[in-house]
Amino acid sequence: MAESILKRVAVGNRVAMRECIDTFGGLVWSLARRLAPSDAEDAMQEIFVEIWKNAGRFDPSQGSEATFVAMIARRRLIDRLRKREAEAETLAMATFAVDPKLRPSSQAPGASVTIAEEATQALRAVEALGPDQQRLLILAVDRGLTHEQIARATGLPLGTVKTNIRRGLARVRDVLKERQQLGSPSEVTAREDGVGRGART
Amino acid sequence: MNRQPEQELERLMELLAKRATEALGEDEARELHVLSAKHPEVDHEQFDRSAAALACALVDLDASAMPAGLRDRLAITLQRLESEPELQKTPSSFTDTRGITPSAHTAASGRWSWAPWLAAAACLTAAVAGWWPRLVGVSAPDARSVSSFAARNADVVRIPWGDFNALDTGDPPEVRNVGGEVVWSDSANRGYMRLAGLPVNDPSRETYQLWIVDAERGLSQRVSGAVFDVSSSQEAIVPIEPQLPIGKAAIFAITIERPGGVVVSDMKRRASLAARPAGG
Repeated sequence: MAESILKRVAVGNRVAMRECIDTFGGLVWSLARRLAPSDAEDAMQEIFVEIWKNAGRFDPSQGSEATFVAMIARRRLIDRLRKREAEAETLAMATFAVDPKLRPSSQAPGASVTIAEEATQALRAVEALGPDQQRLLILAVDRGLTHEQIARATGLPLGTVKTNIRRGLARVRDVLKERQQLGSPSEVTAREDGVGRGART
Repeated sequence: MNRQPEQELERLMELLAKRATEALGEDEARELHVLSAKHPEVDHEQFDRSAAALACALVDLDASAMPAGLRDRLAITLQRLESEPELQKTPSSFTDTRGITPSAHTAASGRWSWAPWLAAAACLTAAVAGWWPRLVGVSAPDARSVSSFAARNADVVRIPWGDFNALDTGDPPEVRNVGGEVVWSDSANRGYMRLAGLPVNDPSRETYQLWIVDAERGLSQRVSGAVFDVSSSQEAIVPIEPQLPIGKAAIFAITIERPGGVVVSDMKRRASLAARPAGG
């Protein structure tokens, strides 16, 4: 099997850098447009520098390259979003006018299979949640709202919002982990707190 | 505050979930750092990955295409990072920009200390702020800049300047006998010009512009490498910062253009030319 793009980026392969941009540029751009619409180009620059710096940390046993890239991208984008808190407030009010529903990503022709595969698993996990929990998770993950903003917008207690978002993320995590563990059924099943049964006494 | 292990784990999970969906405050980041160190058995990125996978599922991938040119600008940035020793690849603020939560892998291996983390963060800021949109003229390079650049890039070539006779008629250029050289690295996609004898120009009337011709794309797709003025008769050192990847630079040509430079030159006002020898 060909070595992953990120592993090749990590050792300074210039062709891989270009390949990384070609493969994940659309995904990162879409995320940037979603969470940092006013300065998406600057964000792209920052994100790809960060990917370059952290490519060596990619561990295929933990998830796909697309998820790793999206994880780095989201961290940067969320930071930028929070630094523009006023903008985030505006966004919160604007976006909550639309009741969020699960809407699978429209995959661009030729989009990476790995993006679709793991993302589909995550989507299936969320679809199994109740409608209220789905809504909270979408507002947090897709719309980029803070827990407080969600609580204000929905009228739910902050603690309820936090708990439901965390449980939703845990559900997604478990589904993804099951997928990763296919072929190694003897491994312990993850607990809700993410600690393997045998890992903590 | 003293907590029981169960309470600590509960708080750790709460912070991890919060980090995955919104940025932590400074106090929270510090608290997460402490708790993460105390519980290396917990996968510290579990919720980050969950949120990332879900975000991939929900984002509209074809809502808008990347702007034209952004892909090339990103490629150039990464190439430059590779070629700059002060921007070595140090895992940086990936986990949190304020600080600070090394990943489980990081904490376990102890490979990365705080000092390089902070240095990388500082370098990142400098790189991003300094590069966009371009760097020309930020600080005047000197001979040391050139020698340092040459030492860092193994594929550096040095090409002497010569007269830029007209390509079709062979007519002599406006400027002749320019001395100095081009110091260029294909892999870094940048370099320097050392220029001796290029006349002082009046910036209100005209400027010098460097064009780079790629060996494969040819003259018709020449790329602007610098727009600069000469203010003294001493040797000038000018950085070459093309906005696009060049590949293998074959010709460096200086023309005289209107103030500010031009997007496309008719190459009528010719100053000097450096042609890479075949096989060089």
